[in-house]
Amino acid sequence: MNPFAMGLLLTISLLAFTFSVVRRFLPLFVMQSDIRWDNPKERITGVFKYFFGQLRFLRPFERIHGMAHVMIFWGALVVTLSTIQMAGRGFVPGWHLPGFGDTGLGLTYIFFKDLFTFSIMAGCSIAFINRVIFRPSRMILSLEALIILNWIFWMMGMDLLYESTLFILSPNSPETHVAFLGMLGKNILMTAGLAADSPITSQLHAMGSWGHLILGLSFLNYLPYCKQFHEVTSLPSLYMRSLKKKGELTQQNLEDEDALFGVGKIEEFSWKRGMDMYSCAECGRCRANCPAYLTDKPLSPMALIMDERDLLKKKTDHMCRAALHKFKKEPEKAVEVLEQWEGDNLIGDVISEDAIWACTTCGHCIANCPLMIEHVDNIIDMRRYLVQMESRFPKELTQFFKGCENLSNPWSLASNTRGDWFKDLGVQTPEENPDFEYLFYVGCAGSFDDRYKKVSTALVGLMQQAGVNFACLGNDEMCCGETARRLGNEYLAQQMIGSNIEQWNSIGVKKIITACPHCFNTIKNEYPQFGKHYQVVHHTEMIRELTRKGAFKGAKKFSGKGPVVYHDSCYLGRYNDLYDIPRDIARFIPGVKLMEAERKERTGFCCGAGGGRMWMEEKIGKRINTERFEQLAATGARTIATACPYCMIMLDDAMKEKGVEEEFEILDLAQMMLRSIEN
Amino acid sequence: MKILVTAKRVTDPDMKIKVRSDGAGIETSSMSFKVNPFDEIAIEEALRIKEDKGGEVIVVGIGSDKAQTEIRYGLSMGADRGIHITAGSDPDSDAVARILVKIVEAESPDMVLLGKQAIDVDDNQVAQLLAEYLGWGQACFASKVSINDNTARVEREVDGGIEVVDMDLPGVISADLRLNEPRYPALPAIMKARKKEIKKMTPADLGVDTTSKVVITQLAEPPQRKGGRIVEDVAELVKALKEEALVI
Repeated sequence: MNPFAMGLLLTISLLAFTFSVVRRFLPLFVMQSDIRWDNPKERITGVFKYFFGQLRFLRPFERIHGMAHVMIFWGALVVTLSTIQMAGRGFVPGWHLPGFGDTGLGLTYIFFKDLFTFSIMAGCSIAFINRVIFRPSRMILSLEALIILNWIFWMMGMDLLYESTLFILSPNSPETHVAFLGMLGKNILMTAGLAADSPITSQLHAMGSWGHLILGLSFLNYLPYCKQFHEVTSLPSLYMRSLKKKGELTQQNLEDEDALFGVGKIEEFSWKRGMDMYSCAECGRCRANCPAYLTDKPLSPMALIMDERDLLKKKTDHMCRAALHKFKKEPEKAVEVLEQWEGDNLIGDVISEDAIWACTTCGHCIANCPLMIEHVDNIIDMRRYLVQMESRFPKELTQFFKGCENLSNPWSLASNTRGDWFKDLGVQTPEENPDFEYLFYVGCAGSFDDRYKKVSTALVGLMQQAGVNFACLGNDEMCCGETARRLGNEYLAQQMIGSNIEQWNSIGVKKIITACPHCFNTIKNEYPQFGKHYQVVHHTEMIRELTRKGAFKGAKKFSGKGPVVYHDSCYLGRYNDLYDIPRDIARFIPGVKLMEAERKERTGFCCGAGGGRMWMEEKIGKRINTERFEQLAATGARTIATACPYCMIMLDDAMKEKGVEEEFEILDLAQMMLRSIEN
Repeated sequence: MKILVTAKRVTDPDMKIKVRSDGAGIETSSMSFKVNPFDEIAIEEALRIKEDKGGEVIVVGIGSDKAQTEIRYGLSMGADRGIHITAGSDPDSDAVARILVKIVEAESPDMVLLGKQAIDVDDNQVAQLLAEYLGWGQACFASKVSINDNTARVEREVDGGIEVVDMDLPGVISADLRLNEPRYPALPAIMKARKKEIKKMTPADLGVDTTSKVVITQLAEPPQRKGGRIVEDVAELVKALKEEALVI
């Protein structure tokens, strides 16, 4: 190999690559700040799990395609060393990395290099066939993806050609004992008539090494311009992933009047969101189970990130110039440059408002993104902008917000009738029972919705039977603020959270039971942001605990309409990992035949009500609750067990719309338990 | 265009009203209050006129210290400044009109825009009294307002249709339900509103005697509704209509 040519190739390609990468990263410096380097220990652990360990690809439902990624990824880690050696040999023939060469380590490496060369080529082939022939619905058949797979495949092919011809030229190399793939190549080539003294062999050998390097270095320069840029960003992205609790949205500082109260422009996102846009590899795992996408709403979490990325790329020049001004401490000029942008607006042109409002915040996208992109938070950023800065939202939400503000419930029902449901149940208020152990925080649905009042009543019955010492606030109870927060009204949510904490502190609340996963999640995971930790128990946890203690020994055979299927609530399951506890209750009840839906637990399908969707009209596409009801009915079950008011109301509506309320029954687990006791 | 609007603090119409045991008023403990919805519509209309023509919107509220919340709400919608006339209890319609006369004399607005009635006592008198005392034109129950130099064309909701009137300005307009849909204040506006001026005065400062001409002597809850029942046959229906409903 010619050292001069090699030097020129490396210099040009590395300089060009550096230029591209700087252009990609500079814009991040004008984006908003976000601390993502606290707690290094946990971050490093995560890197081992999700980067090196490829945990999110090795799930049972991933099957082949995830494995293909792992084969290519691990392969790339191993083979890169060989590529560096090959480039070095352009200057010094036979050069190797320190400690490598004809040593034990070197030869072991050669063995693994061959193994992983095979793994990469096989991985690329599997991925290619999968994309072209089997076409999983989550993916898009993009030319870019096929080009990338071919590029990697032939890069490895060239490496193999280099090695095979090397063994023809130097048959006594110790590497021949370990390099099984190279030897296989050698045998094939020799069978085809290639000999050591043939000039073609040397030419092929040179072609192999130059081919591998040229393909590799050109690929490197292609990265910043394609979805494969995640090869560069994935490691830092995963290190700087969000460490907040799953069920938690970030707290906005609303005291600072100059702060942004939401994201209306691409540069108003945090820099990490920008990096995530670059990271997206368009694999579509986010949308594989997205209730909005699968029912033809204008939202696909993958398209959301891709479209934002395209805007970020279009705005690169402006943002790079603004970043340079920022470095020169000229913030006014930076602002000026950004204001000169006359291209597409983030909201409206790039991301439609319908898409922003279509999200149910079910969290499937986040839970399944191998690069841990935070799609829901991204959408909430924009909702916050629309609601708080522009006061622009579906008009049904005006009543929602005003109801929460004035009457502390989204139905705008009289707050002084909130406690009416327990008038005749012998439930005490904290005034009547100041030594209560648990506050039963009923929530708005449990207080006002006729269907869910029955669940509150059933839970009261169970707790009274088991002798739980609890109290209910009645008319003094206020909405928890969960939904207002997910609708982007952080200001309203913070007011509501503040009022609740103040009230609960004044009566010494320590433990809270709730029958609503939304209240549960927000009080458990979000209230600590406001300085208050409560011991929060979801009613299914309470019921299971009481069951274990033998409180419901008298339970008799459950009389229902048929087999039971449990529908996972997103905020109970995906956000709080409570999958088994609700099922345990169903299993405990005698005579219950428990079925499982195909989409369950981690891949459970949302009822369509989360993220404030409950309060919005659903005019586009198929109704999510109908889709979910059909999925559940397809299991053959006739009783649908829920553990969440939103799920219950949505599925109940779907059932009635289909006119099948004679055949089906929708019950909360508390109701099922009570029924089997009272039988 | 300088517009005076009102913001009365009223009991939230969605709350369940309970009459006080002495019958002279309603229970206000654990009651939610809000700005009178018709006033909210009036404020919105004034803001839209201001956004179109420029000028100033001044919100007036009359009531206890707490009535400031509703004035502040008007400011967060976008009004420029507030005037709070402190009064222990709500003055009657006539006193309110006389207070507003004094404010109009001091501020000389081009228009007074107010809700057609407050949804708590439903008197529906202030706009009319005010126009009379000022000697101005009045266009009540507006469902559409358009301003043209010194006149206002107002579409009024009347029984079975719309009456269109042209009125010289200054004048008094009262807002009906369908005039507009009030905005939901955005956060920066709420923050700005915290710093806007609210001038406090008493009726005495304005030389207005608020002694009530109308005194509420007794309030009573409507009779409890009984659930309906399904009768067996026509004979039973006729009997029930005769004996229970007393309609035939």
